[in-house]
Amino acid sequence: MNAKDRNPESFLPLRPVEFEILLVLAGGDHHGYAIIQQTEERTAGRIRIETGTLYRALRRLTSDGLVKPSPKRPAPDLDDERRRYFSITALGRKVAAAEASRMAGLVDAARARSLMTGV
Amino acid sequence: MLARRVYRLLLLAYPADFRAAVGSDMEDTFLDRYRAVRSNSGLLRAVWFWCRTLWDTAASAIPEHKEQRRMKSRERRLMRRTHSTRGLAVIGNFWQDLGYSVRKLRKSPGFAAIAITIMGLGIGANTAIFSIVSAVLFRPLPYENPSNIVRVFTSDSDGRTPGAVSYLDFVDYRARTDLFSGAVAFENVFLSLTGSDGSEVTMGEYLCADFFSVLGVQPGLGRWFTPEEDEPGVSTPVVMMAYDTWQRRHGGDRNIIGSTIRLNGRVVTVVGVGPEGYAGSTVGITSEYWLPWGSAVQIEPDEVDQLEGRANRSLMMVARLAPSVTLDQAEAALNVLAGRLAEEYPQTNENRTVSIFPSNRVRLHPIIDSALYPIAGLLMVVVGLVLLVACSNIANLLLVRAASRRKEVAIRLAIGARRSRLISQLLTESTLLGIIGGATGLLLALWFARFIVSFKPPLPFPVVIDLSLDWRVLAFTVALSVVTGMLFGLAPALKASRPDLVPTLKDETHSLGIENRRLSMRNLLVVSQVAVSLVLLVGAGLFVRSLINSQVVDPGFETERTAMATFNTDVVYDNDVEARAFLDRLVEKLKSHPGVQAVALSDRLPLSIGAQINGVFIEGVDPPVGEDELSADFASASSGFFDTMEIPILRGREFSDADNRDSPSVAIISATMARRFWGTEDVVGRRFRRGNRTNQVDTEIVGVAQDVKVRSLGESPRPYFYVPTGQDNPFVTSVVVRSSGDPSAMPSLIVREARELNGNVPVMESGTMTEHVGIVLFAPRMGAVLLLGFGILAMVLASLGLYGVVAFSVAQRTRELGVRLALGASQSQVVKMVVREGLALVAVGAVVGLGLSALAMRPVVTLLNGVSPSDPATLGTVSLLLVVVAALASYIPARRAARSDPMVALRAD
Repeated sequence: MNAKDRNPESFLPLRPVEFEILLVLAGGDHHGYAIIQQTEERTAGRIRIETGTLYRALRRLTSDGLVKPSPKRPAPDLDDERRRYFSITALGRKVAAAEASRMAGLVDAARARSLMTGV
Repeated sequence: MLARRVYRLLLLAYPADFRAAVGSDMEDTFLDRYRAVRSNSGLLRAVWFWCRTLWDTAASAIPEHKEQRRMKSRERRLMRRTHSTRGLAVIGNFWQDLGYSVRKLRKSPGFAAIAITIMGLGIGANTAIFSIVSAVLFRPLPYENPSNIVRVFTSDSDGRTPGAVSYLDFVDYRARTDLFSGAVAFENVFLSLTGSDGSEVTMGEYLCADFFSVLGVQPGLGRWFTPEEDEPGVSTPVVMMAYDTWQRRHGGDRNIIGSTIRLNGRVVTVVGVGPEGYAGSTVGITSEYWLPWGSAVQIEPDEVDQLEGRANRSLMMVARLAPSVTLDQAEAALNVLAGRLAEEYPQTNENRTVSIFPSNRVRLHPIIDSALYPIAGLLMVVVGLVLLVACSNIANLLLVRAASRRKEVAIRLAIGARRSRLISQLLTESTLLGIIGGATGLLLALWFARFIVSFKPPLPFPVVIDLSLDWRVLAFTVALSVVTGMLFGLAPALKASRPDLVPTLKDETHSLGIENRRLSMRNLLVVSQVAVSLVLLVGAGLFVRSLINSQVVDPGFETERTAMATFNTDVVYDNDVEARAFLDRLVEKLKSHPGVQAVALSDRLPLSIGAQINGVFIEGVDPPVGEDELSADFASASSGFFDTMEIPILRGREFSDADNRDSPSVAIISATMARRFWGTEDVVGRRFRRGNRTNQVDTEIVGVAQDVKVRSLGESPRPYFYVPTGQDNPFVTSVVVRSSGDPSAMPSLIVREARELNGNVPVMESGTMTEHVGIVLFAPRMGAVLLLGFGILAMVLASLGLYGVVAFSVAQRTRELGVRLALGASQSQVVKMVVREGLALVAVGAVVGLGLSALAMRPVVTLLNGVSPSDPATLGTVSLLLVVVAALASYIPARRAARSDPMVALRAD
């Protein structure tokens, strides 16, 4: 079956590192190091993606059609010739959204059982 | 960049197509992160970053391999249904084992971290020492077809000791084109390079114009020399510079070709730059400039005499054997030739023979090499012992783990797992530890080796040892990691895979009275660790003692208020008269300074590196049995030298300015020389001849001086004599100044005054006399630092091992100890009992260790100064240190056990 035709739900649940990558790429095209940096900044250093883990996940996401190498380049003065940028695909967006709502569902359930009082 | 190279190696862990797809991206990303870490934080962070990266590589490369294998086997199944072969099953098992091992280690990060650290330290120490040894002794010089390159030496007049070749002999040897398809010679020389801020001494080589073409070295830029440039006066002086020099001094400017520099005060044209990484023909000595003979005699006119005298043997000869000529044939043929030369020139060539060595067997010089091999061997043995302690330590840790995993193993065996399968699983785990430890060790080694090499030996030229990673070091580390991984894993794996099934499954092993054999093996390991680390500590202790002894020795001359500087006038002045004038004016200028009490000259101060020896021939006194002649160290001394150095003259007189070339030859001898050769100190007025067998100078003794230390601080007084500087060559001369107070400003004063007189005269050494004397302490200090470092490392490891054993045995005996406490034993009694058992192990280890050190220290005796290898103070202190540390290591778990609540202990099963 062609990846593009797959139901976004069939990818769930995503691995945490995959979701982190999709989260960063949803905000724009980035190279590997930027993905690591942004994740670290967003989580205040709690999540640190290591290089090998990152590229394994990126390769998996690419072959599943959720991420593709980006032909786009940022402004020339910010650009760095040797780097490869990645961007999120339409399918990737749908999968990330599905994962987010799956998580939201979990949060609702936790709240209903008073696991998140005060949050 | 080193980090990039290391990370590239790590990337090899990934499957090839994964690497092809994202490898270079990963490299860039890694480097970005590494730079960020390095620029924002310290070394510790960087080490931690490397550990994380190692871990990440293992944790992502292994599943990636497994996934690829799964995909490939699925593809294969889709293509055609086929049975998996036995080989594939083994490989499959391997990946399964590896994945299992990674998960297992991940679950006990504490154990993994300790094991990896210990392995890293052990392997790191070995790799560091090996990379230095390999760089000095094993790495071949980058010549084409090194297998048929040989080194040719002429012997001393004793007919045995290989030495350098004279130019005229070389020309005769080279003429044998039936033996050699090419033959060249070179000479290491000091050159004075004039820069914008005065001149400095650099190293260079004079060599044959066809040197590089015979050896197959390609220039990096420009050209090599032309044959005409070997002939004096045919061309203006030309030079090639080393690649590093071109980069460092000229910023890699390609317009350097055709420009000029000043060497020895003469203008020289640069015609080429050497290839990257080539730093001359002698390991450890970085040559910056290369000049053909024709240019050498122009920038150093003295060199003409060097080249024209058959007795001036200063060249190193390198030759390429002609096809089908063997080394032995060439050596035999050259010896026939040497015999003819001896007949023709008996004055210079009598008794001289020729010896030829394969080029890879000669590093610096056969004589020096023969001293380097035992030192290298000793160092490798020392670090090998550290690794042994590390291995037995991890074997201990694995035994603890094996004990705690007995149930898991028993279940797997009970449900039908084969023992061989279990052993291979356990070995995979220990080998994985070994390899990760090895990778950590490699990183530690890079820092460590640099640290060791940063102790610059006090030589007048830079010693540069190229520590870049090569395949030898990598292969050594990989082999070491795998072998040690297997070694420390095998015994525990064999033990662990044979548990007693029924009691284990019933959880009965913790009950009272089961004395398991595992413990005795653990005890054996601890005993051996203690013994080995004691050997290392004893060695370290002896070296430290010997060093302390050296430092309190009175050298026999004033060191507190004197300072010195050594000048090489040879490279600037063409004749004695000019050089002497320069030195005399320098002395006059210095004398006029307030604060300077006395100034004097000598060609060789006591306690300089090496030796300067002369034969001594006395009427009616025969040389000792087995020796051809009497000999003594000697140096030149100017008038006022003994006053400046405060060396008492016991009899006779000091030298005066009247002792010069025109007056009779005189000498002042040391008291020991007088007593040993004449049997009395009353020798003023007696005569001896000094020199060698063919060339002797009749000399009158005019004074006897008190003994000084000549070659090392540890030596017993040796025969030593002084000749007047006025009757000696003034080429390399030291200026000594005695100040009225602190001499620390004196060295720069001497250099400044010399620069004012002639900025081209290079300074080879300058410092206070205390600094100068420190030179001879370099080797013992270095030995003491290294041995002490390794000894302490081994002791820490052994203590960790002991701690582990005691902690484990206490944990096993929780119930027994609980019973004792419940029955009324006091806490201190329990502590004493446990500590006593720990100390018993240490005592056995210490006795074995002392016995071993008695054997091990035998070959080291010659390196010690005033310390017997069985020095009771050292042995006692070291043993005491070990016992105290060991007592502490067993006290901590013992106290924990004694403090536990007996009720809790009794309930524990």
